[in-house]
Amino acid sequence: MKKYITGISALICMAVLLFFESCYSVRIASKHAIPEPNIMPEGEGYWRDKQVYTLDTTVKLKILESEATVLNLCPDGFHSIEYRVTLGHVLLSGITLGKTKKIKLKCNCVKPQ
Amino acid sequence: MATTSTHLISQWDTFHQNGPFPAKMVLSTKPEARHIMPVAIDRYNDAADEIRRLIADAVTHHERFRPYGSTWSLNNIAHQQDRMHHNAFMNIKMDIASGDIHPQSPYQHGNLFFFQCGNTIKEISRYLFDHGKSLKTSGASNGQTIAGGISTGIHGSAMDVGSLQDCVVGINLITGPEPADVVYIERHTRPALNNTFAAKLKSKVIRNDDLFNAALVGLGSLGFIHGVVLEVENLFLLKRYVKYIKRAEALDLAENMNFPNSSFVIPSETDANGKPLRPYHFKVYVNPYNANEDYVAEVIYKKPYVPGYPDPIPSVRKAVYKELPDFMVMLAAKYNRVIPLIINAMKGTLFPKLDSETTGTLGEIFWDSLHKGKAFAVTIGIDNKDTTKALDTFLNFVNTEGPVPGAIAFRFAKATEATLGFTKYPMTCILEMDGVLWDDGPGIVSYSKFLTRFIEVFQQANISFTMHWGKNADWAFPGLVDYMFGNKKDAWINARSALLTQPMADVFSNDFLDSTGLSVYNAAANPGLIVSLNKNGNPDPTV
Repeated sequence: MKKYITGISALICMAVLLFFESCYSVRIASKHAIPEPNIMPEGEGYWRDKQVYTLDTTVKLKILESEATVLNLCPDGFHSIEYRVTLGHVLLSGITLGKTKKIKLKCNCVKPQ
Repeated sequence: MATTSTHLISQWDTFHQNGPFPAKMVLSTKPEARHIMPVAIDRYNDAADEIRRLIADAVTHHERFRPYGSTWSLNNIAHQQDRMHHNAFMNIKMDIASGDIHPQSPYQHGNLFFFQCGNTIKEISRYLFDHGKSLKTSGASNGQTIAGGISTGIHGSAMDVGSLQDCVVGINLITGPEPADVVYIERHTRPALNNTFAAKLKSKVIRNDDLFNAALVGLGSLGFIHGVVLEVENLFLLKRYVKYIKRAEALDLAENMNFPNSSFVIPSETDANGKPLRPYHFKVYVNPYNANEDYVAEVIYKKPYVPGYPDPIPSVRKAVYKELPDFMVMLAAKYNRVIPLIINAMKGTLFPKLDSETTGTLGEIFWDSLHKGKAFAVTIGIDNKDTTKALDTFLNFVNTEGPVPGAIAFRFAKATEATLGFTKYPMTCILEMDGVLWDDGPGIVSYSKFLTRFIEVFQQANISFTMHWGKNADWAFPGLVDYMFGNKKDAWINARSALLTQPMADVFSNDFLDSTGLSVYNAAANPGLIVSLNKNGNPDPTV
């Protein structure tokens, strides 16, 4: 019986972990902006020819603060942004009443003119 | 001051993953910021000084130096194992004033623009759009830099326009480390800018058709292309139709270009007598593994620019799993009989959407393309009169010695004036196969053998052809460039030898040039090849 309970617990833990890891990403790009190129192609797919900047951080707000804006990622403008949301991020925000926001994104800036 | 970052590397690859190739160093130059150096021509000349400094450093270290832009070529033409120069940040743009025009120029100043080497086609199109102008043609997408695009001869399918390099009317080259190594080249029969403008570029002027035509498709080897003058035109719209077309109709149009008397009719594109109009662009897609299937025609008509048309760029763009091509290739390497099934299944991705109509500017119709994994492309130029023979040779080849994972298309461009332009026939049919680059396996012809056999089969069929410099081929095939270009090969070598000193010719060479036999230096080349001429063809004493 104990064995079963341990097994079920392990399954639940795994499911919870998987569940918390479950996520989706959304990419938004400008049609007409010129992407900042990278020096050499890297990886595959959409980002291969683009200079990629990433941000993986947590923003904590004080009691009277309601929102935060991340600056300086692309000082002259964005070409594209891919924002990743996991269930863990949503739960963290919910548990902390929106005072802790996990931000995970990658982006490409516009090519300097 | 322009700044250059240095990146020590061990290998380098193309956008389409045709490498990797061994490499030591990438240098990447950015022009000075506008707020520090507000005048464009100052920033441009400052960048030229920086490039000369980099060339001098390469010479000092007895190393070769090769510029590259967007890495879109599918072979090693942009590669150099010593010092590679990434120029995509060099994107200064300059308008041409009426006072800059040569007194005998046939061009309107409003249609001439000066672009530094690293401007991409998309970037140029956007800049021109803001001026109410457009490129006359482009390739099927927009990521190439202008210097890379003209150096390999990108072409599109604007039948009566020509290739991208045919819109270039002036080229600014840096041929060595000294101030005197900056030259501005034009045709003497069609001068564009005056000596005063060239002096602003701190350049020696050479107006000479033969030299200019050699430099137009220079394979990255006639020095560092620092900037070009483009002739453009007023903004226009393109209306694109995609329809099934019978094989007989497609080949008749391909060989005769007799659109008004064709049975292929798009009802909304006829004249007052109901005769089909001649399109701006004509391209035909062929499934090589289904002889009974109709071909797909992409036909585009040029229209005056009128705002308010529906946005031709989709609001959401979807892509297939990027692992899918790898999976297909793995499957194909073991069981080549599945390739035709895969091509049939992928028609929706490989071919444009049937019965669709789209309107947009040139820059919108030939918009961004996505990286879809390792890719190959074999592209030849033939006389359009040979289309049926060449297509059947191609189909027979891939069906008997393949199959290989690719689909065939053919399109058209009128002859280029570039000495080594592969669109050399009066009306060049550009016959191509694009597909997924495959690994060798027991069930499929090896990639290298496919490329070699391709040339052998076309030569045995006695078809005159050229090959696209930026695409895949067995570039070391004995006598290939002689077969393609005959005496023009020597003309190009001589122009290069006259323009560059022997040490600098070596600095601007690479494996690609060596393997094609084009890095040969003719120390006895006629110095008259780089003499500036007046419009009558006599030496011009004013420069």
